[in-house]
Amino acid sequence: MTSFKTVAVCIAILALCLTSVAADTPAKSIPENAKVYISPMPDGFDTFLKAAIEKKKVPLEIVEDREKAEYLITGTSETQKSGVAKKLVFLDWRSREEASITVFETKSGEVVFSYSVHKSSSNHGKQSTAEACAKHLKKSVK
Amino acid sequence: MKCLTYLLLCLLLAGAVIGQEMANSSPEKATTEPTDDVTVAKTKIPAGSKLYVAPMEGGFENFVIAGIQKKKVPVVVVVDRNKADFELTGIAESEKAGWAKMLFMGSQQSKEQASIKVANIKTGAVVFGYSVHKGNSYKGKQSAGEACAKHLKQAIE
Repeated sequence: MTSFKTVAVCIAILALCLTSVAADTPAKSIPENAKVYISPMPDGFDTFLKAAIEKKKVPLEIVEDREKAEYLITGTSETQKSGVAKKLVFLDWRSREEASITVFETKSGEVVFSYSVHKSSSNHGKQSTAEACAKHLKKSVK
Repeated sequence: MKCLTYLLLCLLLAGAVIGQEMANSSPEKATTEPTDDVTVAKTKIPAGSKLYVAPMEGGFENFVIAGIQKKKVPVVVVVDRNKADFELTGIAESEKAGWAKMLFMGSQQSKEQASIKVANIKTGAVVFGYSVHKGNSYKGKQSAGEACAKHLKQAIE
């Protein structure tokens, strides 16, 4: 019975420590309807990202003029088409996708959101990675 | 009968010891795991410092920034070098799995290697350095970026 109590106390102390550590880390969020400019990205990933932001209903206003934007999205994307070996050995026709985006405030220059995604077999190619980015971006908009 | 049991036990123990020695000295294992971080200067990076991540090959800086956010590294990443206290520079290289790797190893994961260094902008002193090599990177550049961020966190006060 005493050992159970000791274990319970230890778990409680550990949980308290973990919550205090989590509270220490600064978490910035993007305000709703903020004006966002999406910088051109390799392979036209910015277009996929715009479409994904619309599809996932991210509450942000995309602007075409960089000067008018409060936030800027930059990023990179890479696609590797399924090769003969992948098709023959794994019977997999899907592409390998990886992308990473960074959102920063134009005034302060501070990064407020960043996310990277890797899909070894992407069902919808770049669309999947762009939608993953948009989905996670939506979580940081408040 | 007892002697035979002891002999077998000794042989088993010796085999285990030799196996462990061979595994430890295997160069392959050393190359597939991330290398240890190398701290160039003893000074640590203060928490809350402003860090500028310089552009890297293949947009690796975005993966590093994402890793910094994911691993909750207590620094403020800025995009303007003039506003930063520290600068992170580095290099990254990706090698996609070829047909032979897929056919013989049954692996379609890429080989990733990256190296970063953090320098104090004012003094120019390198305060942190780390390199990572992954023979079979589960999540490509993302894994390498997160490994860099994880070790960077350890160098922050």
